[in-house]
Amino acid sequence: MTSVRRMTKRCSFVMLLFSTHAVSLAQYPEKPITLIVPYAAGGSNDLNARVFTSFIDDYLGQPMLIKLVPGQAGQKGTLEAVRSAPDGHTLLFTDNYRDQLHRYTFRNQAYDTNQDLVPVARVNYGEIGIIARTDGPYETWAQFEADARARPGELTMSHSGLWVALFVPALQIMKNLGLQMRMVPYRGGGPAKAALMAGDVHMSMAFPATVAADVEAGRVRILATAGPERILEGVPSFAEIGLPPTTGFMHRVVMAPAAIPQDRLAILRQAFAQMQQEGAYQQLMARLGENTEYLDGTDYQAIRIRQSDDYRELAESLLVQ
Amino acid sequence: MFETLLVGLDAALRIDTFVWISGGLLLGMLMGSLPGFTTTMGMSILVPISFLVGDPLIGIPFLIGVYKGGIYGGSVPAILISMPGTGASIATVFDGHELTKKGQPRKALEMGLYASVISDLFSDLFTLVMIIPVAAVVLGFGPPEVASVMFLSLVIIAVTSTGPVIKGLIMLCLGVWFGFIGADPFSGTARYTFGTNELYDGFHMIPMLIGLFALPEIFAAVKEGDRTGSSIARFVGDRLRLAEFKKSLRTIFRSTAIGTAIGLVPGLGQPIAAMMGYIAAKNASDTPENFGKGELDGVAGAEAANNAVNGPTMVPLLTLGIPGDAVTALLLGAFMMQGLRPGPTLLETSGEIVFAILIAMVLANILFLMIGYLTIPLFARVVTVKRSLLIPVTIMLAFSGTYLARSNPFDIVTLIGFGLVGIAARTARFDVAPMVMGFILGRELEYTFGQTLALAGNDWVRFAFVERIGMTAVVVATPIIGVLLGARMNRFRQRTLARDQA
Amino acid sequence: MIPRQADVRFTVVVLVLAVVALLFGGQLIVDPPISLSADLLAMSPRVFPFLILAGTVVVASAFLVGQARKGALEMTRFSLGSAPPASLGRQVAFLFITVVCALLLTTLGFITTMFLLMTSTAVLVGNRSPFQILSISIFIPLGFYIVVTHVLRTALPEADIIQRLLAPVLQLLPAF
Repeated sequence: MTSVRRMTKRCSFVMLLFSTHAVSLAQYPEKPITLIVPYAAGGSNDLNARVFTSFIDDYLGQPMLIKLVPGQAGQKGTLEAVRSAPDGHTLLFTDNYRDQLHRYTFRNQAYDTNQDLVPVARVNYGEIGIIARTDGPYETWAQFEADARARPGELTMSHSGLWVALFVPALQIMKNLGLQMRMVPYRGGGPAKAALMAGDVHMSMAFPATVAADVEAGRVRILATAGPERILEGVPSFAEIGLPPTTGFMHRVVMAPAAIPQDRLAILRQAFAQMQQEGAYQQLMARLGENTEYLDGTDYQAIRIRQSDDYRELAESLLVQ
Repeated sequence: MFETLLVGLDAALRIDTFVWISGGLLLGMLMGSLPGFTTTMGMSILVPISFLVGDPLIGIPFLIGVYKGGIYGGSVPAILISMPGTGASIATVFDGHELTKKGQPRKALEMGLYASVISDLFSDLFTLVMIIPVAAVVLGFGPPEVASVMFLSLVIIAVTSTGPVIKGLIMLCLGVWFGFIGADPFSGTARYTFGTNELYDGFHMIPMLIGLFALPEIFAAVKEGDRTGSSIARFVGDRLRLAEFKKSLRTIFRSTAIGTAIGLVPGLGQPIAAMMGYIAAKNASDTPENFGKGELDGVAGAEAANNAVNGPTMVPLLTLGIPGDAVTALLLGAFMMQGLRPGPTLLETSGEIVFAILIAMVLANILFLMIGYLTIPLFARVVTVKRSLLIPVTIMLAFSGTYLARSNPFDIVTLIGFGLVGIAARTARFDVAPMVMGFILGRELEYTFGQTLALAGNDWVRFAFVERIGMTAVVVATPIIGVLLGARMNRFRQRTLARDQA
Repeated sequence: MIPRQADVRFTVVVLVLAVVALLFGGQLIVDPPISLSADLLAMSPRVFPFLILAGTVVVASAFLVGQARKGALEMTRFSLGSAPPASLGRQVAFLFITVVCALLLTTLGFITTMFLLMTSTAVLVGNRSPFQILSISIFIPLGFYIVVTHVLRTALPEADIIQRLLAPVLQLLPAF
């Protein structure tokens, strides 16, 4: 569907919505909603947000505008969201690492995500994979693991920054399998992948969507994927290689300030649920290479609590050293 | 490959492409000339428009036009009111504003325009022709190479600053330290922040630039005061003469080469290119003592270099899907919204689109020249306004530009703080350029050095001499180059001193 | 002004700053809750700041020693140079106004603060025509505010009253 036709379709949908609004009693939302996105421009989270915000306005009756607030590993944007008026017109887009792990890794008294934020919906999740160069020495995960055990501290892995999407699973691998690798920091997933391609490091991690083109071109090999089951032919899952089942998942979640009125929260949740039915939304997400595994806010809250325990264990194990 | 080029050429040569690129260029120039409104901000606002257009062949060149216009636009306030609109225009301030004070704003603006256009044109052509080999080269530049080049740049900047080398070094060290205030790039440790949240992000570059370069000028005007009738320049001044332009042709080509080379190394960026271009022009000139006092060659050197960076920075994006900086990250997003996945397969599957975009970039330069030429007289007229009216407007722009950059009230504090530093430095006859470059480079150098350490591990002898011989070569060459350059600058300084005393 | 005096003063300030930062480095650099081994953390956050502060101390001292040898260290004489008192008053007033406006920007709002800033700067720079001063100080911030918030869709701090007053005006403008 060309963008013009899509625009017209959405415009007419909105007009229909407005005409029914004349009879309905709901007032919220009466002005555009701000979605604070505490990530760098152009990253996967930014792109995901741009996709769903362009569809959600049909179901809310008001546009959802993105406000990019990068900085301080997301703390800046989160602080802004926490401090905003809890009337349902300001929301936060975040992930599980920032939500549950950063409380242990960064000194921050300004907010407590468990108390100050309530989940609206989990939009989707990304499952990370371990990648290596096709022309490199590792064809399977078993080979890499053996080499890593034989040479502790010598193999290098590129990651996208401390305590975020690539670093945490790597840390969990090292802790659970007893490996020791050297971590080389890069500014984001893109440069981390580039380092692997240039042969500067032995291994890296990436969300399969980011490396799909490279896998197709035969430059990159996926050695393992996150989750309890196999996603790709012949590639073991994290559970198979001995990792806890939740390793390597990045959940993308929309949150609201905790004091938001319950009826408004319900309207938001319903809008996200309804959006899942729209074919165009599914298509655009698929084009981005992302899934649309939606989970309602209340269901996600259960996961949050479990994650909190997992991450606390991880943090404590590091402190003991 | 050649057929895809032709298809791309055909696709690019359409009227609506031209119209949209021109629109982008004009918007970019206007936004760039508004201090504090960075090109990235402008582009993010316009990304939805590029998407609504529907056609990547129009939407992407539109954004690229905005980008190019923005870089040139930043030189306008730099030249006219000593306020760099973007980091890329830092080196343009040195001679650009002095020329304005001498009554030659139009000449400076025109030289900036021609230098920018020529260098951009050649750099884009180079990218177009050499895109495949360039991709391979770019991948070869890892953190160790980038770190060594940054180290070299710092040394060059320190020894070629105005005034004695030791003063340059003091400012450099100070600037580097200012860069360390805030969160450490590896672990997020708070450094010298006294527990405040505001300082955790560190100082922002835009208010620092405006404070260091613009506020002392405003302060000087206040100090002189009471000259109600005067303006910075009475007329817009003469046009640039062909002879003057020809004299700077060699500088322009040299800066193009420098800018293109710097564009190839990921992470260096426009401010460094501009400084290196400027310093190279100063070094190659017969009269380096005129630099900083209104030398057209200085403007040419700076402006040519900062525009030449554009072309090569697109290469990692187009060939590998890896954005090198905020602007290319935005372009990546714009590409993906259009349904294109930049990466190794893009050239194979949609090669004609890539070529069309590159060709559009080349063509954009021609349009750039025309639009710039028409708008310069308007811009230059600004300085004919009475000083007592212009200065209040300038300070308003300083404040608003600062706030615009990040919507953070703390930036205003940064503005005033660095304004005071700039005023003090000017009184004490210290050159602020090394401080600014130290600030920009220091942080990056720390990060790339840390990355290098992590890559090297324990066996660093083998790392330095076998794996990363390029890095080692640059590191060894740096003190040699520093001493040679410093000696040459010293000789010129002695010559000037002798001449002044005679 | 006696330049040499000024640059010595400047350097002394820098030197003192560097020494203080070095001495109190422990308190001023706060470690995160989880300290990581060298394998995981590329470089300690203390290394480069220490290096650069040490470098600053060395270079600043070298400069001061060099100046002392040239006999330019006249620390006891305190001279303001040849600037007339009126100029000093203007300078101080200007600095005061800018600091005040910086602090009050978010409280008073953009248009009011810019109005204050522009009028005072215009007077300090020597403009004597109230008409000119008032007209630029009102229309330029106003125009700027409208362009930025409406066309560029970027926020500027503004007092509630003024926002409410301007709302009907903005409705009349074509939406972008």
